[in-house]
Amino acid sequence: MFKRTRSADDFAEEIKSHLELEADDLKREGLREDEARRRARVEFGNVRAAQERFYLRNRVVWFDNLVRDLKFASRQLVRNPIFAVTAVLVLALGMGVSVAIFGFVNAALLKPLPYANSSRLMDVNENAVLWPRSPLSAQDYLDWKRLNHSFSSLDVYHQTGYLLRTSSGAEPVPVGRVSDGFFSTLGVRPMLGGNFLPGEDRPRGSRIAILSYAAWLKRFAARRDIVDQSMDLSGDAYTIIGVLPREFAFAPQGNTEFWVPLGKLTYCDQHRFCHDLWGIGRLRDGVTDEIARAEMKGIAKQLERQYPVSNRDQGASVTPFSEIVLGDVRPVLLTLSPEQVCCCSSRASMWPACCSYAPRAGGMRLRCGVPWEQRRHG
Amino acid sequence: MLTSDPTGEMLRSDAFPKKADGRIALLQGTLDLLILKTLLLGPCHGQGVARSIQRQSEETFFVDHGSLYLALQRLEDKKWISANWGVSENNRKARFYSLTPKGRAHLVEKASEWQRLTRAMELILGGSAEPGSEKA
Repeated sequence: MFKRTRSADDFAEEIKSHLELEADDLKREGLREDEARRRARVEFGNVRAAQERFYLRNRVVWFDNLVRDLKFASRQLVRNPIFAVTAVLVLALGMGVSVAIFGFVNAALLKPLPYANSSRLMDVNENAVLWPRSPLSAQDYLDWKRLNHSFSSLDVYHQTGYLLRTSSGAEPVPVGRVSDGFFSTLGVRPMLGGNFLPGEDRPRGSRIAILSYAAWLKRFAARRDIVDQSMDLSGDAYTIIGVLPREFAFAPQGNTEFWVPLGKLTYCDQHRFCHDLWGIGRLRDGVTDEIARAEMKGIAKQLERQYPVSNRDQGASVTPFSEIVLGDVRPVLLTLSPEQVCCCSSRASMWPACCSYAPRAGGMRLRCGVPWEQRRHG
Repeated sequence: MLTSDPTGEMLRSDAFPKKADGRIALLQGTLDLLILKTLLLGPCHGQGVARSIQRQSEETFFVDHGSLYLALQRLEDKKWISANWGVSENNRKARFYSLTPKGRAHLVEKASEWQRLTRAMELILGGSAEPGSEKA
C-alpha cells in the first residue's frame, strides 16, 4: 500500500507529452500552432484534477491528513509560544493527575487484595444499635470461634502501642496483637522465618514477634540473621520469629511494625462488655456470605440470651473484607476517572481563542483553488 | 482500508460529460476493456490510445483523458499492461504501454462477457414484444 512505483512528477510528464502529441496531430490536421495547443488543452480537460486524482490513488487518505494535521499543529505551536507552553503545561498536569489516579484505581478497583483467594475473606464483627460494625469482645470471639460452622478459620486483630528499646532510648511503635491463625487466614507466609503456631496466642504463650518488611529494613538493616534474635518491647523480651514479605499490606492497620500473638489478656479482654478485637474469617468452601451472616446472627442471639446484660442488642455483621478496605473509596474513584477527558476538552477549547485567524486563512486557501484535501490547512 | 477513489474512475460527476456534439461518454467499466483491446494491436502511448478509441468508435465515444490516464495506471498496477518511456514516430518523448500475457487473458474473458451482455441487451431492446404485452 505504501509502495509508490511511480511519482506524481512522472505522471505530470506523461500528461505534458500527451498535450504535445495531440497538438502535433492537430497541426497535421491543418490547425495553426497556437490553436492546436489550445485545442489539445481543451480536449484534455482539467489537468490539475487528473493529477490530483493520480496523487490520491491508493493513498491512505486519513494517514496523509494526519501527517498534514501534525505539521499544521506544530507550525501553529511555534507561531504561538505562549499558547504552546500553556497547552504543554495543562497536558502535563493532566497526565500527572491521570497517572496518580490510575495508581489508585488500579489498586482499588482492578487488583484484588494481596491475600490468597481474597474474595472468601469476611469481616466478621458485632453489630449494635449505634454501630453497624463494632469490634468483638474477646469472650464473644472465643464463643463465636467455637460455635460457628461457616468459617474454616476465624481470627482477630487489634492495634496497640509498645515501647521499643533501641540504642538511642525507648521509642513508641505500633504493634498488632493478633490471634495465632491471623496470617494463615489471610494466606500470608513470612518471607523469612516462620508463622505463629496454633496455641501460641494463649495467655501464657511465649513472647514472640513477626516483623513487617518496613520495620526489618528500618530497624534491623535487613539482616537475614534476625530470626531468633531478641528485642525489648515495653520491658519484655520478645523473640523475632519471622519477617513478612515486602508486598504484604493490611490496610486496617497499615503502619503496624511488629505483630505479636494476643498473649496475656488485657483488662478489656477479660470482660464480655469490653469490645476491642476486630474479627476476620475465611468462608468454608460452599458457604456463602448470606449463610454465614445468618449463622453468626443466630449465635449472637444465643449469646444475648445467655448474657442478657453484657450482650443486650448485640447482633452480628458479616461483610466481604474488600468492602471494608475499599468500600469508601470506590465511588470517589469512579467519579475521578472522566478527569482526563476534561483535561483534553479544556485544552481543545483554548484552540479557537488562540487561532482565531484560522478561518480567514481557510477561506484564502479555498479561493486560491487548493485541492479540497489540502484545503483544511495545507 | 480507506483509499480515495478506489476505482479511479466514474466517481466524479464530471468524468463522463455528454458533449454538445453528440458524442457520448463511456459506460463504467468499459474503458479498461477498450484500452486492452487497443493495445492488442501493439504498444501505444496514452494519446494514441485515446485517438484510436475515438476513431474506432467512429467518433461516438469521447474519452475523458484524466480518466484514461488513471485507467492506464490502474491496469499497470494490476500488471495487465506494462509501460516504458520511449520516443514517438514524430520524435516526442512518450510513455508506451503494451499488453502483458495476463492482460491478454483478461481481455479474452471480459470480451466474451461483454458480447453476451450486448447480445442480451439487443434481444430485449430490439425484440418485437410490445411493452405490457405480458398482461394479455
